[in-house]
Amino acid sequence: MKKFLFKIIILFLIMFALDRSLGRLADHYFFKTRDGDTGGQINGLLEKKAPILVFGSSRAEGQYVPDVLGKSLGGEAFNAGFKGSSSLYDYALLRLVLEHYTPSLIIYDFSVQTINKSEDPYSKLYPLYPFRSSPSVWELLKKRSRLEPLFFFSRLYPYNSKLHSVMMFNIWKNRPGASNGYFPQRSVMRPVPLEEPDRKEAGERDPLLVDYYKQFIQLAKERGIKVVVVCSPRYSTGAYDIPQDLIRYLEEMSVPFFDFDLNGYPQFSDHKLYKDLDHLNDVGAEIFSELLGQKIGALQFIPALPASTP
Amino acid sequence: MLFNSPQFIIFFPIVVLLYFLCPYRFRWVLLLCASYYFYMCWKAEYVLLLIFSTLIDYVMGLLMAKEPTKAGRKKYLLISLVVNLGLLFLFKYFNFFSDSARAALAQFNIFYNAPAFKALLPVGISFYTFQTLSYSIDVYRGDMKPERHLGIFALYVSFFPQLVAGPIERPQNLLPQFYGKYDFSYERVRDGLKLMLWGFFKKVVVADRLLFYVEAVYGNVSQHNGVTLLLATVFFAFQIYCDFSGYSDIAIGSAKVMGFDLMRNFNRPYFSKSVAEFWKRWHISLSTWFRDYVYIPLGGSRVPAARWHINLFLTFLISGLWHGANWTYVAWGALHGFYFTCSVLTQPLRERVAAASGLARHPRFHAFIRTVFTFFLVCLGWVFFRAANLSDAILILKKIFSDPGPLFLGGFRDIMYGVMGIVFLVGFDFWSRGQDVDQFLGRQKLVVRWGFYVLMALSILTVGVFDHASQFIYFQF
Repeated sequence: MKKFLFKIIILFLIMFALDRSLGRLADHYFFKTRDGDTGGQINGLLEKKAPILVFGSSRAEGQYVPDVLGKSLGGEAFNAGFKGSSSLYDYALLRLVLEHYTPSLIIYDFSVQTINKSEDPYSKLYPLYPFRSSPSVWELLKKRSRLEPLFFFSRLYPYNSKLHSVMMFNIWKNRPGASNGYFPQRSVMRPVPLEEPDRKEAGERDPLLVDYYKQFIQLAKERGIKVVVVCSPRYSTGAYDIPQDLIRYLEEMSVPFFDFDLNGYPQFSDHKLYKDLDHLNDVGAEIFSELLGQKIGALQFIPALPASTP
Repeated sequence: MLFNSPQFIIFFPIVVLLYFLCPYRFRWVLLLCASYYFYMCWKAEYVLLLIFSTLIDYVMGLLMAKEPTKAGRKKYLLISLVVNLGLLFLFKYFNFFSDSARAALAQFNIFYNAPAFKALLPVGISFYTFQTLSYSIDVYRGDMKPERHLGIFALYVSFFPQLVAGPIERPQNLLPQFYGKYDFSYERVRDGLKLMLWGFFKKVVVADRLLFYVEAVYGNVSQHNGVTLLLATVFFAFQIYCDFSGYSDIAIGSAKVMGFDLMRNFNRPYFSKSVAEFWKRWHISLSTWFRDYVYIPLGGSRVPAARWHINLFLTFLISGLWHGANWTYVAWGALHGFYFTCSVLTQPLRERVAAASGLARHPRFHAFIRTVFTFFLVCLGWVFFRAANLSDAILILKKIFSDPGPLFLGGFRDIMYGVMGIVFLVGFDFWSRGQDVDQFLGRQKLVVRWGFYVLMALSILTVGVFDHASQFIYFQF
């Protein structure tokens, strides 16, 4: 028993020393990155302090071109969309942003996947793990499970699945073509009939995520940020139903809502504008961003935007 | 409770500590309570099914012991079979057969509303049902005496390390071990922990990484080309291997820490040189179960050749159905049955071809070719196993053979980590030459051993997937 305890203690000491030293190193290099699909992009976002922010999932990340939007709206834009994100992640990210500055306009891409039921919704917060020292982020991270804080005793755990990204983005700085969080999708979808018969049906809504969606809107409004919700194009005529209760909520909150349904916008019925059924490619994104910029500009509810927020 | 959950990381050391502090005569009580708690963490009320199954088999075992003849014992065996298989049928297969019957009748313009049994499938029901059945059948055959201690028998059915996904233990191996008096043994605890660490690595670093790519591709088959589908299939082959053998390693390791020896469940299956050999190395506890309780009672190989092939085919068909209530599993089982019979029938021809082509003079190269070909055949089977339905499976096979194109890189991070994991795993399996990780490491120098422990632990921490929703694939069976 003594021998076992002795060896276990030695192993733990080695692990502890490695965890601390490698974790420190990871911290150092992570906060030097400004782009990346595992959280580095958030550093860029917090540094830029752009007055126009785009939130949402991969449908935001690759579809809203900040340069085009910024030009139309007269201010710097940053795309904070994140592949596979949920409304919970968006809400947590907004709270983190608000700890640093207050943007003027948020364009929030709506995608049913961001409010769909998943078995472990808090796992979607993983890009924010390195920001555990932020009180608002920590408050949400802890909610994953009672035992979750135990994992954060490790200094390396926040960098789980991120070390390669930290290394790569310290060497190459940005993803090729990435600019202000936007990551162009250069491939073109194969031609398929517009009405794809075996489209996956929209999943079951998660009341928790619907609630976070509403909290996101509410928080932004409370902080005086203008919000526009957008349902961007998909290569499908009868895509997903937008929950009526959410539309009513947006109306109650006086949040403009643009639905780029293909019936109303037939110019997006061309498969060459898509990377896949759910995502526009770079060409489609440029056209869409231009059009969206004009539509938001026509609202005339945005005050003159500064180039960037101090 | 999942092995890869934080709850288990707390649960297991507490159980082990209490186990070694507990007097020998009360240890079964502790383990039984721990096992029921382990099971109840998933869905508490389903423990009643487990208890019911335990009581039926316990009573039938005792009643069978009072009957001197097989004929007398038969009725009790039948009760045990009907109850256990009935529960399994109700929870796992009722909707499948009901839907299939409805679809078949609809072909003849006969329509009816198929009744549905709406209940969650009790986790591990196929595993503990087979374990209890092996007890009843062995008692019926007179191969063993019935267990008279209800608590020990209940522990045999519910022993937490192997309760929900095996290895499916035999009563002759496990029951006597519960009477053993095991003191803390440094060597056993060390070896058990090594196995557990290796199992965690396989599960959270390799299997769960590969899962992302496999799900992305298999979830949207029509949008992917043959090259991508082929890679996803190869990834699935390693995902399911690491997932299931990882579970088995954790199960065997955690039992070993407490002094129990569970049977080995995997032995480098992808190094098999034939499908027959694959089944001697893959899910060994299940394939030997089917051999002893299905194949041999059907007559095995001691029957005319045609009947022998039917026996082989039937055994694989049932094995496919055991895995899940879906035609894809039936097709997977049938395909392996087909492989098996073909391999038996073509053996003389293959030997002649090897001799004529000169391959027989280069045994290493010949073995390599056979290994690659066997892996290819097994992967074709995995297409049916993983596809959502038969039409998807056929579409995937069509595309693999006829639709080239650029590889979908999707989550490149997952591909990179997955490939690194596969290379490490295959390298380890190659160098270990069939030894378990504890035996293999035991022969290495201190630096290698400790380097291995640290590397495993760091990999789990930095690359492992800690998604609480990530279950083991075989839980659904």
